[in-house]
Amino acid sequence: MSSNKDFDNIFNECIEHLLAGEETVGQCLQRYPAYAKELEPLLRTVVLMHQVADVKPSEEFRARARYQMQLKMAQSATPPRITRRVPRWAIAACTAMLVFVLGGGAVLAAQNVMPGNILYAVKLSTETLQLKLAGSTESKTEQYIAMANERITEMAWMVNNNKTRNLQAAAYRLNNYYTSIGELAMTGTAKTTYSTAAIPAGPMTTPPAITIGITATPTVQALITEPVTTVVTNTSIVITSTPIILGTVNSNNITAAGSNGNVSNSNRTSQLLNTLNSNAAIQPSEIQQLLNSGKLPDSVKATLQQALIQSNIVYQSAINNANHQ
Amino acid sequence: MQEELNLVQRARQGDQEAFAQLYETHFDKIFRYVVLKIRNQTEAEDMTQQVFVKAYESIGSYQPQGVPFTAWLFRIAHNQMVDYVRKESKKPTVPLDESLPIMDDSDLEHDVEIKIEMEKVVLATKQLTKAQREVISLRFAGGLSITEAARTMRKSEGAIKALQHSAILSLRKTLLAGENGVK
Repeated sequence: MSSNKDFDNIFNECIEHLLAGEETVGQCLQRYPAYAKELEPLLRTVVLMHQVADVKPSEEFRARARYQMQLKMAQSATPPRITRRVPRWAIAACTAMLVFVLGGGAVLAAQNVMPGNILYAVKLSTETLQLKLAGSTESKTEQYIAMANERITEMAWMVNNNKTRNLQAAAYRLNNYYTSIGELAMTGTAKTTYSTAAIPAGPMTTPPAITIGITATPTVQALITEPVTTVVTNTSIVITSTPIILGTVNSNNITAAGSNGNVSNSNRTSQLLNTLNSNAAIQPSEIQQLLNSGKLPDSVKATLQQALIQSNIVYQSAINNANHQ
Repeated sequence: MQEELNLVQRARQGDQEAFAQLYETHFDKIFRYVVLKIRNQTEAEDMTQQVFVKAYESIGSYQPQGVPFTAWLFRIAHNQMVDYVRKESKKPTVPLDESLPIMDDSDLEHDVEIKIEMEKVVLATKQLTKAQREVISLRFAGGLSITEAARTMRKSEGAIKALQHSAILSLRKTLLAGENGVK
Protein backbone atom coordinates (compact mmCIF):
# COMPACT_ATOMS: atom_id res chain seq x y z
CA MET A 1 0.00 0.00 0.00
CA SER A 2 2.78 2.35 0.99
CA SER A 3 4.65 1.38 -2.12
CA ASN A 4 1.59 2.15 -4.23
CA LYS A 5 1.28 5.52 -2.57
CA ASP A 6 4.93 6.25 -3.25
CA PHE A 7 4.48 5.25 -6.84
CA ASP A 8 1.41 7.48 -7.21
CA ASN A 9 3.31 10.43 -5.81
CA ILE A 10 6.35 9.80 -7.99
CA PHE A 11 4.18 9.29 -11.02
CA ASN A 12 2.33 12.49 -10.35
CA GLU A 13 5.52 14.43 -9.71
CA CYS A 14 6.89 13.26 -13.06
CA ILE A 15 3.63 14.25 -14.77
CA GLU A 16 3.86 17.73 -13.29
CA HIS A 17 7.40 18.14 -14.58
CA LEU A 18 6.47 16.78 -18.00
CA LEU A 19 3.42 19.02 -18.35
CA ALA A 20 5.43 22.04 -17.28
CA GLY A 21 8.09 21.14 -19.84
CA GLU A 22 10.71 21.03 -17.10
CA GLU A 23 11.75 17.45 -17.64
CA THR A 24 11.77 14.71 -20.27
CA VAL A 25 10.60 11.15 -19.70
CA GLY A 26 14.25 10.04 -19.67
CA GLN A 27 15.22 12.55 -17.00
CA CYS A 28 12.37 11.45 -14.81
CA LEU A 29 13.28 7.79 -15.18
CA GLN A 30 16.87 8.61 -14.25
CA ARG A 31 15.69 10.13 -11.01
CA TYR A 32 13.66 7.06 -10.11
CA PRO A 33 15.50 4.07 -11.54
CA ALA A 34 13.74 1.66 -9.18
CA TYR A 35 10.39 2.55 -10.78
CA ALA A 36 11.67 3.14 -14.30
CA LYS A 37 10.24 -0.01 -15.82
CA GLU A 38 6.78 0.65 -14.48
CA LEU A 39 6.91 4.40 -15.03
CA GLU A 40 8.12 4.55 -18.60
CA PRO A 41 5.07 3.23 -20.50
CA LEU A 42 2.75 5.36 -18.38
CA LEU A 43 4.81 8.49 -18.87
CA ARG A 44 4.98 7.87 -22.62
CA THR A 45 1.18 7.67 -22.61
CA VAL A 46 1.03 10.93 -20.67
CA VAL A 47 3.25 12.62 -23.26
CA LEU A 48 1.04 11.31 -26.06
CA MET A 49 -2.10 12.44 -24.28
CA HIS A 50 -0.60 15.85 -23.67
CA GLN A 51 0.32 16.19 -27.35
CA VAL A 52 -3.18 15.22 -28.37
CA ALA A 53 -4.67 17.76 -26.02
CA ASP A 54 -2.29 20.52 -27.03
CA VAL A 55 -4.61 22.09 -29.58
CA LYS A 56 -4.28 25.79 -30.10
CA PRO A 57 -7.17 27.97 -31.19
CA SER A 58 -6.62 29.53 -34.61
CA GLU A 59 -5.65 33.18 -34.70
CA GLU A 60 -8.80 33.89 -36.65
CA PHE A 61 -10.98 32.32 -33.97
CA ARG A 62 -9.00 33.96 -31.20
CA ALA A 63 -9.51 37.37 -32.81
CA ARG A 64 -13.19 36.74 -33.46
CA ALA A 65 -13.84 35.48 -29.96
CA ARG A 66 -11.98 38.39 -28.38
CA TYR A 67 -13.97 40.80 -30.44
CA GLN A 68 -17.28 39.17 -29.48
CA MET A 69 -16.29 39.33 -25.84
CA GLN A 70 -15.42 43.00 -26.12
CA LEU A 71 -18.72 43.61 -27.81
CA LYS A 72 -20.54 41.81 -25.03
CA MET A 73 -18.73 43.88 -22.42
CA ALA A 74 -19.38 47.08 -24.33
CA GLN A 75 -23.07 46.29 -24.58
CA SER A 76 -23.32 45.78 -20.88
CA ALA A 77 -21.50 49.01 -20.20
CA THR A 78 -23.43 51.40 -22.40
CA PRO A 79 -23.04 54.92 -21.09
CA PRO A 80 -26.29 55.49 -19.17
CA ARG A 81 -26.66 59.19 -19.88
CA ILE A 82 -27.32 58.70 -23.53
CA THR A 83 -29.70 55.83 -23.32
CA ARG A 84 -31.72 57.46 -20.60
CA ARG A 85 -31.77 61.06 -21.66
CA VAL A 86 -31.65 61.06 -25.42
CA PRO A 87 -34.03 58.59 -27.04
CA ARG A 88 -33.17 57.36 -30.50
CA TRP A 89 -36.16 59.01 -32.08
CA ALA A 90 -35.16 62.32 -30.56
CA ILE A 91 -31.75 62.29 -32.19
CA ALA A 92 -33.30 61.23 -35.48
CA ALA A 93 -35.85 63.99 -35.19
CA CYS A 94 -33.17 66.53 -34.31
CA THR A 95 -31.15 65.54 -37.33
CA ALA A 96 -34.15 65.87 -39.59
CA MET A 97 -35.14 69.15 -37.93
CA LEU A 98 -31.67 70.63 -38.28
CA VAL A 99 -31.53 69.64 -41.90
CA PHE A 100 -35.00 71.08 -42.46
CA VAL A 101 -34.56 74.33 -40.60
CA LEU A 102 -31.03 75.10 -41.64
CA GLY A 103 -31.29 73.86 -45.18
CA GLY A 104 -28.72 71.17 -44.63
CA GLY A 105 -26.13 73.50 -43.20
CA ALA A 106 -26.09 71.53 -40.01
CA VAL A 107 -25.19 68.39 -41.87
CA LEU A 108 -22.27 70.09 -43.50
CA ALA A 109 -21.32 71.73 -40.25
CA ALA A 110 -21.26 68.32 -38.71
CA GLN A 111 -18.60 67.18 -41.14
CA ASN A 112 -15.73 68.36 -39.05
CA VAL A 113 -17.10 67.93 -35.58
CA MET A 114 -15.44 65.63 -33.12
CA PRO A 115 -16.88 63.37 -30.41
CA GLY A 116 -18.27 65.39 -27.54
CA ASN A 117 -19.79 68.03 -29.77
CA ILE A 118 -23.57 68.26 -29.98
CA LEU A 119 -23.42 67.96 -33.76
CA TYR A 120 -21.53 64.71 -33.53
CA ALA A 121 -24.82 62.82 -33.39
CA VAL A 122 -25.78 64.50 -36.67
CA LYS A 123 -22.52 63.40 -38.20
CA LEU A 124 -23.07 59.80 -37.17
CA SER A 125 -26.66 59.69 -38.30
CA THR A 126 -25.71 61.16 -41.66
CA GLU A 127 -23.08 58.48 -42.09
CA THR A 128 -25.72 55.90 -41.35
CA LEU A 129 -28.04 57.39 -43.90
CA GLN A 130 -25.29 57.22 -46.48
CA LEU A 131 -24.68 53.62 -45.58
CA LYS A 132 -28.31 52.84 -46.14
CA LEU A 133 -28.24 54.58 -49.49
CA ALA A 134 -25.17 52.71 -50.61
CA GLY A 135 -26.96 50.08 -52.65
CA SER A 136 -24.17 47.85 -53.90
CA THR A 137 -21.73 45.78 -51.91
CA GLU A 138 -18.92 47.95 -53.32
CA SER A 139 -20.57 51.18 -52.16
CA LYS A 140 -21.28 49.76 -48.74
CA THR A 141 -17.69 48.59 -48.38
CA GLU A 142 -16.44 52.02 -49.39
CA GLN A 143 -18.77 53.68 -46.94
CA TYR A 144 -17.51 51.50 -44.11
CA ILE A 145 -13.94 52.32 -45.11
CA ALA A 146 -14.76 56.02 -45.07
CA MET A 147 -16.35 55.68 -41.66
CA ALA A 148 -13.29 53.82 -40.43
CA ASN A 149 -11.16 56.73 -41.65
CA GLU A 150 -13.40 59.09 -39.76
CA ARG A 151 -13.07 57.17 -36.50
CA ILE A 152 -9.29 56.96 -36.87
CA THR A 153 -9.10 60.71 -37.47
CA GLU A 154 -11.30 61.34 -34.46
CA MET A 155 -9.20 59.09 -32.27
CA ALA A 156 -6.04 60.88 -33.34
CA TRP A 157 -7.70 64.19 -32.48
CA MET A 158 -8.86 62.90 -29.10
CA VAL A 159 -5.38 61.59 -28.30
CA ASN A 160 -3.74 64.85 -29.31
CA ASN A 161 -6.19 66.87 -27.25
CA ASN A 162 -6.22 64.56 -24.24
CA LYS A 163 -9.94 63.90 -24.61
CA THR A 164 -10.03 60.24 -23.80
CA ARG A 165 -13.64 59.83 -22.73
CA ASN A 166 -15.00 58.85 -26.13
CA LEU A 167 -11.98 56.91 -27.34
CA GLN A 168 -13.39 53.52 -26.43
CA ALA A 169 -16.65 54.16 -28.30
CA ALA A 170 -14.71 55.17 -31.42
CA ALA A 171 -12.49 52.10 -31.13
CA TYR A 172 -15.50 49.80 -30.83
CA ARG A 173 -17.10 51.40 -33.85
CA LEU A 174 -13.90 50.96 -35.83
CA ASN A 175 -13.88 47.28 -34.94
CA ASN A 176 -17.48 46.97 -36.00
CA TYR A 177 -16.79 48.51 -39.39
CA TYR A 178 -14.01 46.03 -40.03
CA THR A 179 -16.33 43.19 -39.11
CA SER A 180 -18.88 44.50 -41.61
CA ILE A 181 -16.24 44.92 -44.32
CA GLY A 182 -15.19 41.32 -43.69
CA GLU A 183 -18.77 40.09 -43.87
CA LEU A 184 -19.38 42.01 -47.08
CA ALA A 185 -16.25 40.48 -48.59
CA MET A 186 -17.25 36.97 -47.60
CA THR A 187 -20.97 36.96 -48.16
CA GLY A 188 -21.83 40.11 -50.05
CA THR A 189 -23.94 41.24 -47.14
CA ALA A 190 -23.14 42.54 -43.70
CA LYS A 191 -24.99 40.14 -41.44
CA THR A 192 -24.74 42.52 -38.59
CA THR A 193 -25.41 46.13 -39.34
CA TYR A 194 -22.46 47.71 -37.64
CA SER A 195 -23.14 51.25 -38.59
CA THR A 196 -22.58 54.22 -36.38
CA ALA A 197 -26.31 54.21 -36.06
CA ALA A 198 -28.70 51.35 -36.59
CA ILE A 199 -30.54 51.52 -39.86
CA PRO A 200 -34.21 50.76 -40.11
CA ALA A 201 -35.38 48.18 -42.57
CA GLY A 202 -37.77 49.30 -45.25
CA PRO A 203 -37.95 52.17 -47.70
CA MET A 204 -35.97 55.32 -47.19
CA THR A 205 -39.11 57.38 -46.86
CA THR A 206 -39.18 56.44 -43.18
CA PRO A 207 -37.10 58.46 -40.80
CA PRO A 208 -33.97 56.65 -39.69
CA ALA A 209 -33.86 55.22 -36.19
CA ILE A 210 -30.59 56.10 -34.63
CA THR A 211 -28.51 54.62 -31.88
CA ILE A 212 -25.77 56.82 -30.69
CA GLY A 213 -23.40 55.97 -27.89
CA ILE A 214 -21.84 59.36 -27.58
CA THR A 215 -22.74 61.93 -24.99
CA ALA A 216 -23.73 65.22 -26.48
CA THR A 217 -22.44 68.35 -24.80
CA PRO A 218 -24.70 71.39 -24.59
CA THR A 219 -22.66 73.55 -26.91
CA VAL A 220 -23.56 74.42 -30.44
CA GLN A 221 -20.89 74.93 -33.03
CA ALA A 222 -21.15 77.68 -35.56
CA LEU A 223 -23.28 76.43 -38.37
CA ILE A 224 -21.94 76.65 -41.82
CA THR A 225 -24.51 77.20 -44.50
CA GLU A 226 -23.60 75.85 -47.84
CA PRO A 227 -25.60 74.21 -50.57
CA VAL A 228 -26.43 70.67 -49.72
CA THR A 229 -27.63 67.66 -51.58
CA THR A 230 -30.03 66.61 -48.85
CA VAL A 231 -33.59 67.90 -48.70
CA VAL A 232 -36.37 67.15 -46.31
CA THR A 233 -39.99 66.68 -47.15
CA ASN A 234 -42.22 66.43 -44.12
CA THR A 235 -40.65 63.69 -42.06
CA SER A 236 -38.94 62.01 -44.97
CA ILE A 237 -35.32 62.49 -45.79
CA VAL A 238 -34.54 62.16 -49.45
CA ILE A 239 -31.12 62.35 -50.92
CA THR A 240 -31.33 63.87 -54.34
CA SER A 241 -27.88 63.03 -55.54
CA THR A 242 -25.21 60.52 -54.73
CA PRO A 243 -24.16 60.80 -51.10
CA ILE A 244 -21.05 62.64 -50.19
CA ILE A 245 -18.70 61.50 -47.53
CA LEU A 246 -18.86 63.75 -44.55
CA GLY A 247 -16.13 64.47 -42.17
CA THR A 248 -12.43 65.03 -42.41
CA VAL A 249 -11.06 62.04 -44.15
CA ASN A 250 -7.31 61.96 -43.71
CA SER A 251 -5.60 63.55 -46.63
CA ASN A 252 -3.54 60.43 -47.10
CA ASN A 253 -6.56 58.19 -47.17
CA ILE A 254 -8.16 57.62 -50.48
CA THR A 255 -11.85 56.96 -50.70
CA ALA A 256 -13.89 56.26 -53.74
CA ALA A 257 -17.16 56.27 -51.82
CA GLY A 258 -19.78 58.65 -53.06
CA SER A 259 -18.40 58.75 -56.55
CA ASN A 260 -21.06 59.07 -59.14
CA GLY A 261 -21.69 58.10 -62.71
CA ASN A 262 -22.64 55.16 -64.78
CA VAL A 263 -19.60 53.06 -64.29
CA SER A 264 -19.41 49.51 -65.55
CA ASN A 265 -19.15 46.63 -63.13
CA SER A 266 -15.49 46.05 -63.89
CA ASN A 267 -14.74 49.73 -63.41
CA ARG A 268 -16.65 49.67 -60.16
CA THR A 269 -14.68 46.68 -58.95
CA SER A 270 -11.44 48.28 -60.02
CA GLN A 271 -12.43 51.47 -58.19
CA LEU A 272 -13.16 49.46 -55.06
CA LEU A 273 -9.87 47.65 -55.42
CA ASN A 274 -8.04 50.98 -55.50
CA THR A 275 -9.83 52.11 -52.37
CA LEU A 276 -9.10 48.84 -50.62
CA ASN A 277 -5.44 48.79 -51.60
CA SER A 278 -4.87 52.38 -50.56
CA ASN A 279 -6.55 52.03 -47.21
CA ALA A 280 -5.14 48.58 -46.52
CA ALA A 281 -1.74 50.24 -46.55
CA ILE A 282 -2.70 53.31 -44.55
CA GLN A 283 -5.30 52.45 -41.93
CA PRO A 284 -3.37 49.72 -40.11
CA SER A 285 -0.31 51.96 -39.90
CA GLU A 286 -2.43 54.80 -38.50
CA ILE A 287 -3.91 52.46 -35.92
CA GLN A 288 -0.40 51.35 -35.06
CA GLN A 289 0.61 54.99 -34.60
CA LEU A 290 -2.26 55.47 -32.19
CA LEU A 291 -1.17 52.37 -30.31
CA ASN A 292 2.38 53.69 -30.18
CA SER A 293 1.27 57.09 -28.90
CA GLY A 294 1.49 55.92 -25.30
CA LYS A 295 -1.60 57.96 -24.50
CA LEU A 296 -4.27 55.29 -24.77
CA PRO A 297 -5.90 53.71 -21.73
CA ASP A 298 -5.29 49.95 -21.59
CA SER A 299 -8.89 49.07 -22.37
CA VAL A 300 -8.82 51.18 -25.54
CA LYS A 301 -5.46 49.68 -26.45
CA ALA A 302 -6.94 46.19 -26.34
CA THR A 303 -9.83 47.20 -28.58
CA LEU A 304 -7.52 48.95 -31.01
CA GLN A 305 -5.15 46.01 -31.14
CA GLN A 306 -8.16 43.95 -32.09
CA ALA A 307 -9.03 46.52 -34.76
CA LEU A 308 -5.48 46.31 -36.08
CA ILE A 309 -5.68 42.53 -36.43
CA GLN A 310 -9.11 42.77 -37.98
CA SER A 311 -8.06 45.49 -40.43
CA ASN A 312 -5.26 43.32 -41.80
CA ILE A 313 -7.52 40.28 -42.12
CA VAL A 314 -10.55 41.98 -43.66
CA TYR A 315 -8.63 44.12 -46.12
CA GLN A 316 -6.80 41.06 -47.37
CA SER A 317 -10.04 39.17 -47.63
CA ALA A 318 -11.83 42.04 -49.41
CA ILE A 319 -8.92 42.54 -51.83
CA ASN A 320 -8.84 38.83 -52.65
CA ASN A 321 -12.56 38.88 -53.19
CA ALA A 322 -12.44 41.93 -55.46
CA ASN A 323 -9.54 40.43 -57.43
CA HIS A 324 -11.60 37.36 -58.18
CA GLN A 325 -14.56 39.28 -59.49
CA MET B 1 -2.25 33.39 -7.47
CA GLN B 2 -2.73 36.55 -5.45
CA GLU B 3 -2.65 38.49 -8.68
CA GLU B 4 -5.49 36.40 -10.07
CA LEU B 5 -7.45 36.89 -6.89
CA ASN B 6 -7.08 40.66 -7.28
CA LEU B 7 -8.22 40.45 -10.88
CA VAL B 8 -11.22 38.40 -9.86
CA GLN B 9 -12.15 40.90 -7.15
CA ARG B 10 -11.90 43.76 -9.62
CA ALA B 11 -13.88 41.85 -12.25
CA ARG B 12 -16.61 41.16 -9.73
CA GLN B 13 -16.92 44.89 -9.20
CA GLY B 14 -17.41 45.43 -12.92
CA ASP B 15 -13.83 46.14 -13.96
CA GLN B 16 -13.84 45.02 -17.60
CA GLU B 17 -10.11 45.28 -17.98
CA ALA B 18 -9.64 42.83 -15.14
CA PHE B 19 -12.08 40.41 -16.71
CA ALA B 20 -10.30 40.81 -20.05
CA GLN B 21 -7.04 39.72 -18.38
CA LEU B 22 -8.71 36.68 -16.85
CA TYR B 23 -10.16 35.89 -20.25
CA GLU B 24 -6.74 36.02 -21.92
CA THR B 25 -5.21 33.83 -19.22
CA HIS B 26 -7.79 31.07 -19.45
CA PHE B 27 -8.99 31.20 -23.03
CA ASP B 28 -6.63 28.60 -24.51
CA LYS B 29 -7.11 26.20 -21.60
CA ILE B 30 -10.87 26.28 -21.86
CA PHE B 31 -10.73 25.83 -25.62
CA ARG B 32 -8.42 22.80 -25.31
CA TYR B 33 -10.61 21.27 -22.62
CA VAL B 34 -13.76 21.74 -24.69
CA VAL B 35 -12.28 20.60 -27.99
CA LEU B 36 -10.91 17.42 -26.46
CA LYS B 37 -14.26 16.55 -25.00
CA ILE B 38 -16.61 17.34 -27.86
CA ARG B 39 -14.26 16.79 -30.80
CA ASN B 40 -15.89 19.30 -33.06
CA GLN B 41 -13.95 22.44 -33.71
CA THR B 42 -16.84 24.67 -34.72
CA GLU B 43 -18.92 23.61 -31.75
CA ALA B 44 -15.91 23.90 -29.47
CA GLU B 45 -15.29 27.46 -30.64
CA ASP B 46 -18.91 28.43 -30.02
CA MET B 47 -18.90 26.77 -26.66
CA THR B 48 -15.65 28.42 -25.58
CA GLN B 49 -17.22 31.77 -26.31
CA GLN B 50 -20.35 30.81 -24.42
CA VAL B 51 -18.30 29.80 -21.40
CA PHE B 52 -16.75 33.24 -21.15
CA VAL B 53 -19.99 35.06 -21.83
CA LYS B 54 -21.61 33.03 -19.06
CA ALA B 55 -18.65 33.73 -16.77
CA TYR B 56 -18.89 37.44 -17.52
CA GLU B 57 -22.60 37.46 -16.78
CA SER B 58 -22.20 35.52 -13.55
CA ILE B 59 -18.96 36.87 -12.12
CA GLY B 60 -20.83 39.37 -9.99
CA SER B 61 -22.36 36.54 -8.00
CA TYR B 62 -19.19 34.42 -7.86
CA GLN B 63 -17.85 33.89 -4.33
CA PRO B 64 -14.03 33.43 -4.35
CA GLN B 65 -14.03 31.89 -0.88
CA GLY B 66 -16.26 29.08 -2.11
CA VAL B 67 -14.19 27.73 -4.97
CA PRO B 68 -11.09 29.00 -6.85
CA PHE B 69 -11.79 30.99 -10.01
CA THR B 70 -10.21 28.38 -12.29
CA ALA B 71 -12.36 25.63 -10.82
CA TRP B 72 -15.44 27.84 -11.13
CA LEU B 73 -14.67 28.57 -14.78
CA PHE B 74 -14.14 24.90 -15.60
CA ARG B 75 -17.37 24.02 -13.86
CA ILE B 76 -19.15 26.43 -16.18
CA ALA B 77 -17.46 24.74 -19.14
CA HIS B 78 -18.38 21.33 -17.79
CA ASN B 79 -22.02 22.33 -17.32
CA GLN B 80 -22.18 23.78 -20.83
CA MET B 81 -20.79 20.54 -22.14
CA VAL B 82 -23.34 18.46 -20.24
CA ASP B 83 -26.11 20.52 -21.85
CA TYR B 84 -24.47 20.13 -25.24
CA VAL B 85 -24.06 16.37 -24.91
CA ARG B 86 -27.67 16.05 -23.81
CA LYS B 87 -28.85 17.89 -26.92
CA GLU B 88 -26.46 16.15 -29.27
CA SER B 89 -26.81 12.62 -27.98
CA LYS B 90 -29.33 11.70 -30.65
CA LYS B 91 -27.34 13.14 -33.53
CA PRO B 92 -24.86 11.03 -35.55
CA THR B 93 -21.18 11.34 -34.65
CA VAL B 94 -19.16 13.86 -36.62
CA PRO B 95 -16.59 12.24 -38.90
CA LEU B 96 -12.95 12.63 -37.91
CA ASP B 97 -11.94 15.02 -40.69
CA GLU B 98 -14.59 17.49 -39.71
CA SER B 99 -14.17 17.14 -36.01
CA LEU B 100 -10.56 17.50 -35.07
CA PRO B 101 -8.80 20.78 -35.58
CA ILE B 102 -5.83 21.13 -37.88
CA MET B 103 -2.88 21.99 -35.69
CA ASP B 104 -0.80 23.90 -38.17
CA ASP B 105 -1.14 24.57 -41.87
CA SER B 106 2.55 24.30 -42.60
CA ASP B 107 2.83 20.54 -42.88
CA LEU B 108 -0.22 18.72 -44.10
CA GLU B 109 1.29 15.25 -43.91
CA HIS B 110 2.37 15.83 -40.35
CA ASP B 111 -1.12 17.12 -39.54
CA VAL B 112 -2.71 13.99 -40.92
CA GLU B 113 -0.38 11.80 -38.84
CA ILE B 114 -1.22 13.77 -35.75
CA LYS B 115 -4.92 13.52 -36.52
CA ILE B 116 -4.70 9.75 -36.83
CA GLU B 117 -2.78 9.58 -33.58
CA MET B 118 -5.26 11.90 -31.95
CA GLU B 119 -8.15 9.79 -33.10
CA LYS B 120 -6.59 6.67 -31.60
CA VAL B 121 -6.09 8.37 -28.28
CA VAL B 122 -9.52 9.96 -28.32
CA LEU B 123 -11.08 6.58 -29.08
CA ALA B 124 -9.11 5.09 -26.24
CA THR B 125 -10.47 7.70 -23.87
CA LYS B 126 -13.95 6.36 -24.64
CA GLN B 127 -13.05 3.28 -22.67
CA LEU B 128 -12.53 5.39 -19.57
CA THR B 129 -15.13 6.07 -16.94
CA LYS B 130 -16.72 9.53 -16.89
CA ALA B 131 -14.66 10.55 -13.88
CA GLN B 132 -11.41 9.31 -15.44
CA ARG B 133 -12.17 11.18 -18.67
CA GLU B 134 -12.91 14.34 -16.74
CA VAL B 135 -9.61 14.13 -14.86
CA ILE B 136 -7.69 13.57 -18.09
CA SER B 137 -9.42 16.49 -19.80
CA LEU B 138 -8.89 18.84 -16.88
CA ARG B 139 -5.28 17.85 -16.34
CA PHE B 140 -3.92 17.48 -19.88
CA ALA B 141 -6.14 19.79 -21.89
CA GLY B 142 -7.17 22.29 -19.25
CA GLY B 143 -3.75 22.29 -17.65
CA LEU B 144 -5.20 22.20 -14.14
CA SER B 145 -3.11 21.11 -11.19
CA ILE B 146 -4.20 18.21 -9.01
CA THR B 147 -5.54 20.68 -6.47
CA GLU B 148 -7.50 22.66 -9.07
CA ALA B 149 -8.90 19.48 -10.64
CA ALA B 150 -9.92 18.31 -7.18
CA ARG B 151 -11.76 21.55 -6.49
CA THR B 152 -13.42 21.48 -9.89
CA MET B 153 -14.64 17.91 -9.47
CA ARG B 154 -15.39 18.29 -5.77
CA LYS B 155 -13.12 15.36 -4.92
CA SER B 156 -10.05 14.91 -2.74
CA GLU B 157 -6.58 15.29 -4.22
CA GLY B 158 -5.91 11.64 -3.45
CA ALA B 159 -8.98 10.64 -5.44
CA ILE B 160 -7.82 12.73 -8.42
CA LYS B 161 -4.36 11.16 -8.32
CA ALA B 162 -5.90 7.69 -8.21
CA LEU B 163 -8.28 8.49 -11.08
CA GLN B 164 -5.41 9.91 -13.10
CA HIS B 165 -3.29 6.84 -12.51
CA SER B 166 -6.03 4.38 -13.41
CA ALA B 167 -6.98 6.44 -16.47
CA ILE B 168 -3.43 6.45 -17.83
CA LEU B 169 -3.11 2.76 -17.14
CA SER B 170 -6.35 2.07 -18.99
CA LEU B 171 -5.34 4.29 -21.92
CA ARG B 172 -2.03 2.51 -22.16
CA LYS B 173 -3.72 -0.88 -22.27
CA THR B 174 -6.23 0.20 -24.89
CA LEU B 175 -3.57 1.77 -27.11
CA LEU B 176 -1.36 -1.26 -26.76
CA ALA B 177 -4.23 -3.56 -27.64
CA GLY B 178 -4.89 -1.42 -30.72
CA GLU B 179 -1.25 -1.63 -31.81
CA ASN B 180 -1.31 -5.41 -31.44
CA GLY B 181 -4.55 -5.67 -33.35
CA VAL B 182 -6.50 -6.92 -30.37
CA LYS B 183 -10.12 -5.91 -30.23
